[in-house]
Amino acid sequence: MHGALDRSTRLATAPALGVRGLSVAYHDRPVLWNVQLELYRGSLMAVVGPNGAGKSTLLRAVLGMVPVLAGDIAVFGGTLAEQRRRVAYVPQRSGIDWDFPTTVFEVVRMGTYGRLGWLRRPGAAERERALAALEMVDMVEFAGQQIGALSAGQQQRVLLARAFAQDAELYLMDEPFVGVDAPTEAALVRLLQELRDRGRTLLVVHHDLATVPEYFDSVALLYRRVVACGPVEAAFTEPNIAATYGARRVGGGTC
Amino acid sequence: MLNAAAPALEFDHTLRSVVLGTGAIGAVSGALGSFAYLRRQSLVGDVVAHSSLLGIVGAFLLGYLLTGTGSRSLWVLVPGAVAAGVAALLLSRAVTSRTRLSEDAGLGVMLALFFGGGVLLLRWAQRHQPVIPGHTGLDAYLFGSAAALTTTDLWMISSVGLAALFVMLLLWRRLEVYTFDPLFAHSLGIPVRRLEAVLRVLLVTGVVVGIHAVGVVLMIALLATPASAARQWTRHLGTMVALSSLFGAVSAALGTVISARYAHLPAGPVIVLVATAVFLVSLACAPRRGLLSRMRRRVRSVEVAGA
Amino acid sequence: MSLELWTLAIATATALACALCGVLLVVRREALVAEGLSHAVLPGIVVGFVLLQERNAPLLIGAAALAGLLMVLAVQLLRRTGIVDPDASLGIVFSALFSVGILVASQRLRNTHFHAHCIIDGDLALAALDDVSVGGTVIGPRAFYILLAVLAVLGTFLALMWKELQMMLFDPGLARSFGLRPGLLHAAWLGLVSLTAVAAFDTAGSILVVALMIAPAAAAYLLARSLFQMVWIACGIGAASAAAGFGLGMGLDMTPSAPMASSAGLAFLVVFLLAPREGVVARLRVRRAQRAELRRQLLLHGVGSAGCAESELAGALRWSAAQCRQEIDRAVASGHVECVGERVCVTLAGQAHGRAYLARMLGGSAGRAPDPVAS
Repeated sequence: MHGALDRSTRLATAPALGVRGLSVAYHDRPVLWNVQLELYRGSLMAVVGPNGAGKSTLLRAVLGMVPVLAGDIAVFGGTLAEQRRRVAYVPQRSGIDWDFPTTVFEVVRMGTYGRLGWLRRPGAAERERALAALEMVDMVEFAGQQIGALSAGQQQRVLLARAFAQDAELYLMDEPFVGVDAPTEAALVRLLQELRDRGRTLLVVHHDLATVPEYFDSVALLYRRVVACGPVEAAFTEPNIAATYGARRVGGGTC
Repeated sequence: MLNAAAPALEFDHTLRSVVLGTGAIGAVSGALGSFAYLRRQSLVGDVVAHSSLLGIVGAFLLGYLLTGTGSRSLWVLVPGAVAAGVAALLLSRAVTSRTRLSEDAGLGVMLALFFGGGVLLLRWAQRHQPVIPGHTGLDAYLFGSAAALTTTDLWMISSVGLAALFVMLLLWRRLEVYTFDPLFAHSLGIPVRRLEAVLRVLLVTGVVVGIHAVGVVLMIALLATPASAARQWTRHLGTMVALSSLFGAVSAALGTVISARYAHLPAGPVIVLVATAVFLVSLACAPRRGLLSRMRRRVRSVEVAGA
Repeated sequence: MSLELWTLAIATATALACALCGVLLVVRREALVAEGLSHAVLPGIVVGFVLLQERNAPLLIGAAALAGLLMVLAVQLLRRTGIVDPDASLGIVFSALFSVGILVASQRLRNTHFHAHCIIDGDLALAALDDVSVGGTVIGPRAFYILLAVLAVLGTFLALMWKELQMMLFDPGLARSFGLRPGLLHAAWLGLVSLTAVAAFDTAGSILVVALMIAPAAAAYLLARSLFQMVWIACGIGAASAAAGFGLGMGLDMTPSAPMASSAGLAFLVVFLLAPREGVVARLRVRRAQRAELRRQLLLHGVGSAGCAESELAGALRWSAAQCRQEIDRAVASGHVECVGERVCVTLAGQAHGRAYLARMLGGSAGRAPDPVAS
């Protein structure tokens, strides 16, 4: 009785994502080592670090897509298997074959498949959710388009819409602004901030150091280990950035 | 095959069943070929097809060694072909993932090992003394010989193909999501390793079914050509698979009919050329993607710019 | 020279020419272009044969090689439209051309030796019988001299264009900045590959060509440290496969092409397993050492600076109790940890070992705590 109560309060109050002592290896060489990260509900956090820092690996480890050597990952206080429906993932745009025969609407509707069960056909409810998600990214008029005909920015909007159609509470996004033009980037950032203000939690792999303070409220500086993690004003300091990027950092602000 | 004239077929019961049978074969290979196309595995299919020869001849010889007579029953040969195809696929994956060699080279080496080995065994079986009964039919697997298939063979091969199509339909939405975006599929909790294994078996099955119509050497045409043609006409996965299946069926059936009408026309190459014709028409005429419609668009944009 | 020796000589010349072609194809990661070419030259060969009624006429070889080059161009065009997958384009074009070749052969060459066997595995024995004579004296099979000529052309091209080819392979951008045309050079090279495919096809069929182009070169790729070394190793493996296949063919009383192809494949397999640096066995050994080191580091890290009880350790590291015990015993033996009663502690040597590993794995200055001097 006592244990059950304990568990339910833990689930209700735990951070959206708690990573403790996470180590991941690729071909028996460590990519992530002893990573600690706390992501509180309703925050919008950037993950930054040089190439090969393990940023994408971190997202994949959270999603159970790479084997974990050691450590714990708690999603809303529970395991990923229990909480998978509350998590949505936006992979890198470049990893997708944009000549695939499918339309914008069909891609976004894929976001509803996780809840639908795999044998039921998507119906009116799924259609509604997909259209609502397209509405959020302002792409409704493109619903019937073949995805190959879209610009890079539009493709990125479609991927975000697919995640929104999952109706999740924790969003993990891998470089969502790469190849996107400036006005689209601004619009997408506003959208992410809006979601945060409505209580969603977002962890975004980001490549442009200059925009971190403007876009995000918290940041994790990663190079195989977490160098610093916390509110932007506390964690995003020159020494921390230097420690993360070392000699690799070229020029001011970006890498 | 080229020397031995295919038994002339009249438009009778036999021909009808052969045409229906090769049509079914073309439908299965065409449908499964679209997944190979979208996963950029057309040449993988080519190598799997070549490699299956080792399994076919190996199974035949194994049957001979165990029973003393050579059986060309498909219940013996098809499992052999599938086993060799899967083995070639896995070994080439191992070569590519464990060395710096490109996928191309990994596949090319499988041609040397499995197709070279297959032809070696085939020639050995053909020269074996005492003569192994049934060895003459093995040659048909090189360039295909639909006319040599018995009705029982056609039933067997069609049911294997239909079983594969059933699995495809059963897993349809998982296959769609996984083929389009494997990482996203993984994040939804789809067991991607198992799905990948299923897709491999489906590819090998599509190939093993198809070689009965066109043979191992030309199999890639039944896998890649209808799919490439179908891709031009549509923007939906379902329509593409259905069209590819249709193109495969029409090419195989029409090719069989044409080869039966004229003497000394082996069916396999005719089927391939019919499929190629369908592809060329699609490439030129398809709306939006087709070359003609592109040219028209370009002319129009030049006119607009000029005006 | 006896007929057997001539056959072996032809087989070896074929293997050498193919191996030379294969080296660049494998390095350029386009090995399966060889598969396409070996099929696509068939219509050229068949049509040439129908028109000339002669097998090894130089004109026929040139025409067929041109047909192969046309295939390459057609594939390039199809790829450039961007609406057909590149792999599929290659497959569509070569299967169509090959079909045309078979149909013409089955219509026009039904009663000649140009049959299905010959298309698949050639007729080396027959080629060895076709003698050529100079000034009345027979000097040996025509096929041998044709292959020798092809080999000479390939060798000359490689020797003359060596620097340019290297630049094309490793830095096309730089090559362009030097005023070279990598595209043109590549096309010329593919033309030579096509020529080789035709010459070899005629004596040995289509499987042998692909197998002897790719397998020796792929094996050499795993052994060599430079492009130059790769050329020699590929030639050596090619010649050895030719000899082994020839012997096997004699033993089994069959055309040696399929045995030669299988030998080349097996040679690759042996190299793939046993190559000193890149072989599976060597890599497994390295991997096992890396894995043992990784486990040691996880252990050191799991124990931490304060030390911990053995019972807690297994749970934190997701190890079984037995596995945990084994790792601790090993680490105690190497002096990295010590057991004090129930507790496990890291020794000074263990701490140094852990720091050194992390510095090595997690890279230079990055990832360390901020350096007070720099800030």
